[in-house]
Amino acid sequence: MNRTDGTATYLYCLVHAARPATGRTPRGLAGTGPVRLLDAGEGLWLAAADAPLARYGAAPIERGLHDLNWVSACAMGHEGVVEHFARRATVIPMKLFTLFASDERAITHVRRTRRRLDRLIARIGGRQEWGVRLMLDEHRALKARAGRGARAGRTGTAFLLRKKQERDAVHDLRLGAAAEGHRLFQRLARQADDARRQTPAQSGSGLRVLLDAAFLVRTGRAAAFRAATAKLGRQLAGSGFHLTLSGPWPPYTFVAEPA
Amino acid sequence: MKPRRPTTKVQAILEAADPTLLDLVDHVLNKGLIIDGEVVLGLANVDLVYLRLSALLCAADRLTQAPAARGRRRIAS
Repeated sequence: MNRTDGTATYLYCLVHAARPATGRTPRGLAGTGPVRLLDAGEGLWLAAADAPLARYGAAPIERGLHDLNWVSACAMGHEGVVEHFARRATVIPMKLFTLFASDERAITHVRRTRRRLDRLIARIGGRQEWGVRLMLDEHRALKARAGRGARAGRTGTAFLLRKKQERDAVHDLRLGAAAEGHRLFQRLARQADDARRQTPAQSGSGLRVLLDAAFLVRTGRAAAFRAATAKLGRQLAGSGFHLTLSGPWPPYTFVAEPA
Repeated sequence: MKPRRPTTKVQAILEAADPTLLDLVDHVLNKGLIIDGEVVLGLANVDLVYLRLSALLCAADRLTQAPAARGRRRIAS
């Protein structure tokens, strides 16, 4: 099924435009050919490139996946091309390492899933993805709460009492923080067309991730969304919370299957 | 803020546990449209890479404990 010249077709993204402006397209993944636009008909294009199988066949990729530096370099190459087109048109970003045996196979596949793709385009067109993470510095938050409660006393009873109070404080703090994460998600979701929460990776350190979420926001509403996020971040900062915003991203989360 | 372009060596960025880069890897590796490409990746290996990535993301999160005012961070502004 592979072409005789030892290359496959690497697919970066789908571009929805009558005639996509190309401009100066970035290089893409190392060792791949220049980015080409393949016509899938009715205003849908595939941003693709030739990829040598010696570097991007199943086996080299499997080996490469063990090397985070290599994966990161590929990720940046992929993202560079996707963003290039995302600045100019609606794109459906592909997952990293989407490869086909040939241009024809890629086009055939896209045509076969056309109805689903058109629904996706209607949902994400003119919108960008923003990532919001809310974390809590438990140490700082507990210190901010300390001061109340019994401190004096050297007796065993006082010691046990203090230990219990500390345990209760951590428990209360975590309950409150989880609620805060939920509240933040709800408030930002009202400013977005779609929102998804992801299960946050926990560090096991003093910094607890309470919310890891993606929001789909109309390009024209981006400034308002950023401002709202910044305002909420400032309000939360005093009590040991730490909020980060990333983006705008091509809508990676919103074209993936809902978890 | 846009993810920064690869102006420095990836190695250097990674050693600094740049949260923006890690976010980027997370996005392209774990999200995006999945269509049945013809090179099928071993799921075990993807999981392996993702475990390391999670560990690094957490390391990066720890770094962000440093005072918010300092330096180039992607705090909401």
